[in-house]
Amino acid sequence: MFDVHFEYPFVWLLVVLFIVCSVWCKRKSQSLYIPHLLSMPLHVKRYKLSFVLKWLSIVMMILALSSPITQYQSNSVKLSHAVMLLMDVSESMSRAGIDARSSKSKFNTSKELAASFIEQRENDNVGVIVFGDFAYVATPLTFDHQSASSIVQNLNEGIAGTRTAMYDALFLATRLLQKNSAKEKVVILLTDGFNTAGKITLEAALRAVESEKIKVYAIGIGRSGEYDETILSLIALKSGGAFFRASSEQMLVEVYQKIDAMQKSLQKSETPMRTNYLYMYPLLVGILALFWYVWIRVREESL
Amino acid sequence: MMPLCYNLIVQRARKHIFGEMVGSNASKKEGDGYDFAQIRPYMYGENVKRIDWKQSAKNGEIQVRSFFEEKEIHLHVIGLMNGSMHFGIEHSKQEVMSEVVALLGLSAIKNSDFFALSLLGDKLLWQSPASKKEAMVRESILKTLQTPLLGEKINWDYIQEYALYHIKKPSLLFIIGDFFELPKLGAIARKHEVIAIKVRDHFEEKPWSMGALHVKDPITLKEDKVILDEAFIKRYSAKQKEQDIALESCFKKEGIKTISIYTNEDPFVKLFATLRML
Repeated sequence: MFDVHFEYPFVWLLVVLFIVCSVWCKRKSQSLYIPHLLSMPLHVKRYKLSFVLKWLSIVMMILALSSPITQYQSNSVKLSHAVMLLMDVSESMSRAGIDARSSKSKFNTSKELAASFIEQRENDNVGVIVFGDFAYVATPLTFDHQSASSIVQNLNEGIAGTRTAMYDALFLATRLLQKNSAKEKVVILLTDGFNTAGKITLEAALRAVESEKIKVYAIGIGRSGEYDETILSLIALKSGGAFFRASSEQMLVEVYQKIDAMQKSLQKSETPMRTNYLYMYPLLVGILALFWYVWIRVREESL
Repeated sequence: MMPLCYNLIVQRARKHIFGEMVGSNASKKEGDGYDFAQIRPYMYGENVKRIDWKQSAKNGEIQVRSFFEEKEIHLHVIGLMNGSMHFGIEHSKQEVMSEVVALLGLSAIKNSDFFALSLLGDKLLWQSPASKKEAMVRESILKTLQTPLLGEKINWDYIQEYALYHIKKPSLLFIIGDFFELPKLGAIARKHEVIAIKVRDHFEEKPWSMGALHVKDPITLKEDKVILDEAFIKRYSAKQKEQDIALESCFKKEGIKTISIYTNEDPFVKLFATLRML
C-alpha cells in the first residue's frame, strides 16, 4: 500500500513565516491617492490569480523541501526460490503405510502431500525428480504448478525400478539448479531407504550441492532405522538445510508446513522497503506557478 | 502655515478681477439703476422725476424713462469637500477650487456684492459670514486650501438642508465639487440661482495605462492594488461617461447651469467665458 509521508515535516514551519511576513512585512512601494478607481471591481480577477499563484508557488516549494516519499514493500514476482522435489519411487515406498494405522502406502501419502506442497509455491520455480534404480526428471523447473502437481499425482510406484539411486538424484538436481538464476535454491529430498543404486558417490553429490549453495531439506519417511538417518542428516547439515523425521502422515504434513514457513520467512527478509521520492512533482508545480506569477507581474509593470 | 500657492492664487485672482474684468451685475428687473431700459407711459404713483418731458410733448401723453434696477447680489459659494478633491496631476482639485473661490470672492466685493463661503462634507466644516471685505475673501481662500480632505465624504441630504435653511436669502449659489455622484439640487435650485462648477482632472475621466498601482482611496482610505491596463481603462471610462450623461440630464432637468474646469486649465478664462454666455 502507498503511504505518503514527509522526510522533513518541520520545514512546514516556513509557511507560518511566510504568512506572518505577508501580514507584518511592509511593502516598499507607496500607495497613491487616486479617487474612484477602487469603486471599479474590475481589477480583482487578475489580482486574485496572481495571489493564488504566489501562494501556490510558496506552498509547493515548501512541500518539495519537506521531501514527500512513499514506502512500500515490493511484491515482485521475481523468482526468489527454485525448489526441486526429489521423490523416492523405489519398491519399498509401496510396501506399507507410513505408520501402522495408515491404510495408504508411503508413496501415495508422500505424492499427495508433495502435490499439495507444489500448488502452494506461488512465486517459486518448482521441478520434480523421481529416483529408483536411476534418477530422472519428472518435470523440469517450471511455474506451471498445476501441471507439476498433476504429474506428481500420476506417478506410479516402481516407475524407476526397485532400488534407490539417492545420490544420483541429488546430483541430477544440482545439475538442473546450476543454471537457474534464483537466489535461493532448495532441494526437498524425500526417501524411505538407503542409497542402493547409482553411479554418483556421496562425496560427489555433497560437493556438487555445496558448490551450488543448495539447501537440502531431507525427509526420512517411516520408522526410525528404515532410512539412512546419518547420511540424510549429514547432507542436510553440509548444505545448510534441515533433516526431518516423518514417522506418520501427520508428521509429514507438519514437515511440509515447517519447510513452507522457512521458505516464506526467507522471502520476507529479502524484500526490503522501497522508497519513492516525490519532491519533483510539487517542485515542478511550484516552479511553473512561480514563472506564471513572474510573467504576470512583469506584464503588469510593463503596461 | 500658509500654503505656498496661496499668494499665487490671490495675486492671479486680483489681477484678473481688478485688472481685466469690467461691468457690474445688471438685473432684468426695472428699478432705480443707471442703465436705460425703455420709454413707456406714466403710471399712477411713479416717481415724477422720471417723466421725459420731450417725449411727453411729442406724444401728447405723459411718458417716463425707465431704468434697470441695480441689484445687490448675495453670492454664496458652497465647496464640496469630498476626499476625492485631494487629487490632481498638474494642480490639485483643491487648489483649483481655491482659485475659483478667489475669483468669485474678489469679483463679488469689486461689485459691492456680499460674498459668503461654506465648506461642507458630511457636516459643516467651515463657513464665513456674508461680507464685502477682501480680508474675508482671503480667509475663505486660505480655508479652502487648508481644509483636510482625506477621509471626508459629502452628504447631499445635509447639503440640501444647509442650502435651504441656513442660507436664508435667495442667493446666487455656486456649488464647487467634482460631481462624481448624482447631486440632490432640485429643491436648492427652486430657492437659489444655482451654478454648478465641476472641477475635475482628465485622469479621473480617462486614466492612462500605468500598469500595477497600489491605490488608496482618498474617501474610504481603503488600499488595494489596481492594474491600469487598456481593458480596465475602457470599462472605467465607459462607466464614467454613463455617469456623466446621467449627471448632465439631472442638471438639465433642474435648470442648473454648469461650468467644467479641469486642473490643467486657467479657471479665470473658463469661468468668466462661461459666465458671460449664461
